[in-house]
Amino acid sequence: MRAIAFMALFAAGGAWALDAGAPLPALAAPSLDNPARQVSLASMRGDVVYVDFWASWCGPCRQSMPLLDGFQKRFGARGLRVIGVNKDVSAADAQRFLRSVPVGFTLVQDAGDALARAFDVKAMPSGYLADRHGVVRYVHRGFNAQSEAALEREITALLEEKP
Amino acid sequence: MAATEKPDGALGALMRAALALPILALAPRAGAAVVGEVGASVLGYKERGLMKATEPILFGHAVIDDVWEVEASAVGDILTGASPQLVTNVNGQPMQVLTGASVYERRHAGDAKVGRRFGELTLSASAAVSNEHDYHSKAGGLEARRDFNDKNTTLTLGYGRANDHVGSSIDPNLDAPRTTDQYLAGVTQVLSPVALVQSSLAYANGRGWYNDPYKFTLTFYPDQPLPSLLPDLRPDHRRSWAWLTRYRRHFAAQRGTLQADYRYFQDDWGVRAHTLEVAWDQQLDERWSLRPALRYYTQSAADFYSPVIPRPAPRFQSSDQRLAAFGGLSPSLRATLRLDSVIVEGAVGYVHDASSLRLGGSGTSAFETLRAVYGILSVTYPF
Amino acid sequence: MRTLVLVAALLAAGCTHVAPYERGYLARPAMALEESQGMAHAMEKIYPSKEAASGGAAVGGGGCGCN
Repeated sequence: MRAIAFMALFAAGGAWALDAGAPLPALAAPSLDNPARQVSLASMRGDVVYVDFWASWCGPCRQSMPLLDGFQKRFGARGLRVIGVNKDVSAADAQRFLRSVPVGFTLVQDAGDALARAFDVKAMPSGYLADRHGVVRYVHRGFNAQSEAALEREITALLEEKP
Repeated sequence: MAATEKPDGALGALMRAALALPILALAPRAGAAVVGEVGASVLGYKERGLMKATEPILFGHAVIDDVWEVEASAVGDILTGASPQLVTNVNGQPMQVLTGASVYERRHAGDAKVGRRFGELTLSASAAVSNEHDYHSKAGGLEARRDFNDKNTTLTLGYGRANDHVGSSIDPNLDAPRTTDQYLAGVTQVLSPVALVQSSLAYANGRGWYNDPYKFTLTFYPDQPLPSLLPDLRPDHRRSWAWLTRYRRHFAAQRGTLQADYRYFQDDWGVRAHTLEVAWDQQLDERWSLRPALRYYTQSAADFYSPVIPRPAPRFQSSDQRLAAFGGLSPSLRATLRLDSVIVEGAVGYVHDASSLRLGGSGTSAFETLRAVYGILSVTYPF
Repeated sequence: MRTLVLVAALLAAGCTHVAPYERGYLARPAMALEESQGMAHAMEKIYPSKEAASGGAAVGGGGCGCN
């Protein structure tokens, strides 16, 4: 009986997790503003990439999104690329959120959940920080004041790493 | 009989806490992530011919740094109007007699809850106080909530204890205590991306004073020259069970949500009650939604309920029609306006309680039909 | 603890597992199990003062599942 319980939980929870050391999934997704335009993660090799999964219904995203916008502005010139993956069911919900929390970094949609599954998203928001070689080095699940300080340290460390 | 109440120390502290919540909005500049809301609402309630009540409410809740949850509210009731006090069969059939005394009551109440999350487990503690000149209540509670399976399943366990003191404006010597222990276990299960269900069981064990100091029964017998008069006499303990199940289902194509709640209640006074509320929340556009609802209630009478005093006079007897067999139907309509910076909700409802509405039809014939309307206006500021 | 895990697993077995990023509909206010604070406090007064039944409400679960 216990075995069945464990198998049910195991199957439900996912057999693996995308953690530090894994390669950044080389996928592409349509831009939020212009679905005809594809944004490719593979093309960002050479930059430090932060892939953030967010949604209008995610409370902590009200804090994390402006923060990431700040990071993109400060570190963009040094090679930081922040990609926000929106998980709203309708683009209208995302747009309403962006009216009160405007950001300047690249935003994509993930209607088919291809990115969410590839990144094995376990919490909202979730952020994956990859180095210039396309290797995920840090994963942030959820967001609080500690995430902010840690993320800044990690980004500057990866930006300074020799390519 | 009128008495104005000054909030006591504990209540004053709670009210200050509730009003201090807007200060949390400044915290984001200090580095902590605070998400929450504060608001105020007012309830107006009018019973046909009887009570009129107004109730201003202040409330707020916040999640700090994704780890702390804080919730608080403060309530002030103002009740006016005659309150039935005597059930007499002087005219043949038992009926409620208004004493004619106009009641002006003020009640202050407040509550607060603080919780901290440890991974998938959240532990909370809560406190509540309520004061009017003839009734004081203090309660505390503890709650543990554990998420499983990516938050598809949540288990909740709770314990609470309430200490009440009952007084009477017609008997200044009355200061009777009552203590109630409450236990709660609940499960919430996500059924699909658009549906979820919650079921919970609450057990309450109370001992102390249950008599209503303002209710009397005056019964005339055809073969007796003098009538019998009894005050409200109830047992000194009460054990009850309540089983509540709630279901929510969203229909994306129709932009609507079905809400259904059912509760079964049973206690050792002989009361059995069913409550069913069904509502449909319809999204009209980006800002407006409308929610019509219908609530049906039915209860059986308490073992010792009787509108006339039986002979010989029993140990327990009450003619309080809240313990009679009756049913009630309550339709309501709520409109919500959601803007980026404020949420306004307005609701109106009608309450119709009658013996004929009891499930099966056999309600207490002495039950006096209740007709009441209410209106609620609520304004909330998210931050 | 083992029994709790088993209960959770059995419940989960009968339902679709919803991933943390699929909770958009569940996070809608109409899908909340509790009323909004303003409405809830007002409603607490209307029915229990006229009826013998009371209690039963639990808290937690559903919603956006954030954090």
